[in-house]
Amino acid sequence: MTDRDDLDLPPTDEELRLAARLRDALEGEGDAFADALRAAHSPGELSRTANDALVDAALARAPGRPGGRVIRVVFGVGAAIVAAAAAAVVVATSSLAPAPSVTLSRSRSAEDLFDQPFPREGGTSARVERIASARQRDLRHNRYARWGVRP
Amino acid sequence: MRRAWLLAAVLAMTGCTAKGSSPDGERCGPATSAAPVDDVLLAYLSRARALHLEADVAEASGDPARAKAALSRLIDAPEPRPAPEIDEVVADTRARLAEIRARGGDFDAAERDVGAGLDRAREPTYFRGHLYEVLGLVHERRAAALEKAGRADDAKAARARAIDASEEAVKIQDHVLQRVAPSPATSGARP
Repeated sequence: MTDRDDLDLPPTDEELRLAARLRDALEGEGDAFADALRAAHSPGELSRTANDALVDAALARAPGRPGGRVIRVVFGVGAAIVAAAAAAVVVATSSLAPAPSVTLSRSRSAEDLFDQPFPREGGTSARVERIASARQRDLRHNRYARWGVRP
Repeated sequence: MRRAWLLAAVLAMTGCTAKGSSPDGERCGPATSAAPVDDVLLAYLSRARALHLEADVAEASGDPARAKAALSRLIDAPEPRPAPEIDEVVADTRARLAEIRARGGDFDAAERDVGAGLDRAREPTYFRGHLYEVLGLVHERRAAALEKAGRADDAKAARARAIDASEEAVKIQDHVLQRVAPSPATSGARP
């Protein structure tokens, strides 16, 4: 049996009972679902009681109300305590367990690359080449050190 | 107490610990005296190497003007940051420029280059010693030119300055040799 066939059938007793209940709800008041359905279709005047309740609820959430300020202060203090505790943990743990040691090659004089005075003339290119090559090796070492690769 | 909390917060934010190192082991804060060797330093040194090679080619082809231009580009280029290696490369480049200028008879400019190089190599190193050697060379060449021009007294004074510069070079190099352990290597450079 298809839906179309189903629509053509006469209503059952149960369907009739539920339809009557919906009609009564729409005509009366107090049923939340029926009230929402009715308001969506043809909104009427808001009762004074309902209006006051909605205004009170909105004002309670508005900034500047004592209640809201108290909540924010509580959250602010809580966040500060958590941040301070985290900082204390970082400092305390670092003093107990040393950080993993990574020795990086640092910028420094290149003089240790040369073990005797330079020739009186010439040779500058070779010296610059030697410095650049040495620092190239240092850079490679630093990369490996940062990646945690140990020779 | 307030300062202690502030310090703790700053250390936590920067990833540094109370021992002055970051979690990856690099030192933090004022304890760091020199930056790690990185791409920036390498880029500068590679550029220096390329410009010196360009100067080599120019000198080999008898074009000192082009050689000076290449070296001047290195001297005039902005330096990425203070670094001992950069000071030394610049000082050595000044020495080379002075050599080329002295060969061309531009002695005043050569002396200025040596002076600028000495400003970048203030410690007693081979680089500083070499600059005094080059200064001696400049004075020698100036003396020869003055002699040729018939200015014997000026030539004599220039020779005296050449000797003084060479003596200063020897003094610096002796100082360096006493500081570093002697090595049997004869190449002039350590591997």
